[in-house]
Amino acid sequence: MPVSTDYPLISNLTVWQNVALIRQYHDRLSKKEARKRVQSYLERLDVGGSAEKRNPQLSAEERFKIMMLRASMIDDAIILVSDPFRMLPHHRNASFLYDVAIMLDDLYTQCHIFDYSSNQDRYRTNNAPQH
Amino acid sequence: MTGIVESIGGGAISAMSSFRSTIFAAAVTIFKAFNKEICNSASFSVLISQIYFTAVEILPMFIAISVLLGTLVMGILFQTIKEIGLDQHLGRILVGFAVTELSPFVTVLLLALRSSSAINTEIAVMKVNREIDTLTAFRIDADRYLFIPRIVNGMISLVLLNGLFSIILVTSGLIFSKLIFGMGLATYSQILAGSVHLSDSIILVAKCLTFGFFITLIPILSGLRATYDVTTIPVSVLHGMIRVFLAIILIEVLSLVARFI
Repeated sequence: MPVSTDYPLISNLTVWQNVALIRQYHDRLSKKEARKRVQSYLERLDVGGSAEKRNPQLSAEERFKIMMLRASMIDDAIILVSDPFRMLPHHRNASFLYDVAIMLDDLYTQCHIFDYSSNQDRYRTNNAPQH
Repeated sequence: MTGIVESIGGGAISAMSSFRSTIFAAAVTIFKAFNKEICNSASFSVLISQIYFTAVEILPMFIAISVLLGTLVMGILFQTIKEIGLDQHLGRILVGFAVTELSPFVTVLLLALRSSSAINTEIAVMKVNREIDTLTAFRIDADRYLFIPRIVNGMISLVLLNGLFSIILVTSGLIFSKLIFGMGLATYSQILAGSVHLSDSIILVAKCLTFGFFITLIPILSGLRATYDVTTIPVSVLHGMIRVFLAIILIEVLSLVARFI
């Protein structure tokens, strides 16, 4: 599942609706049940207060977290993060990206990051995973 | 001369192609609407919010226009009927013209002006912002999640608002029948009841459903024709609205043919 600026959040849906949509559509969860689950995931990512916000109201970090969470909503998801520093332009290294990936690691099976080779050094951080 | 013929031929081929693709899309939409995958809480939420935007938010303006137009038309209609001595055809004129023809036509025009343009713009913006691509990437069928709820909303809203307009027309008719013909409620009801035919009612409902279907389907198709360039949004809305008005005229003509053959 993609995490990329080419696949933005749906602008006429709130944050929780963007994430819940995947489960409501594929797993036929009721709106109430989907909302409850999404809220717990948002709180895990420390963005519980942004549940009712829409895409333009989010900071780059909040948006990235929501897009990672949305990509994790498909069962046995393989997440493909493309050009993450375009979404997180103020970050010098991938530390934040790794933190978010670790917070959600029980929700997906694999996470692959694709970036330009010129950004290679930005991925050498203390919390970088082994693989 | 050759250039003119080529231009006419090109226009005709383009119009036929557009007509064919609309009919094909209509068939696909109807097929998908009866698939059980449409039943999910996300699509249902879209349907409810669309009904709110289309049929509820418009109510104050719709009722004001209906009362104004309805009173005016019924006043003129009843006065004319009295002047040319067609009193015995009052019920048939009221049902056959005001309820069956005027009411759906005014309703569809108001809904097309307000909702079709909004739907066209919304879908075009979603296309330009790559939000339609997002749905595809997450294996969400845009037809089932975005488009069919909007089309079903168009059909429901048109039938309901047409009913409301008809009630306002008939109520205005009651007032003018009292003022112009000195008619009581019992006589007026009797004339109305005697003028309603089942075939007319079926054609009226079918016409409203068809209007509702096409004034939402055509803007959706037009919105999807936008590219990833922002400047294609106004072009898409322009073409979409022209097609919507052509469709309204075509459906009106076909319903008249169906009623009078």
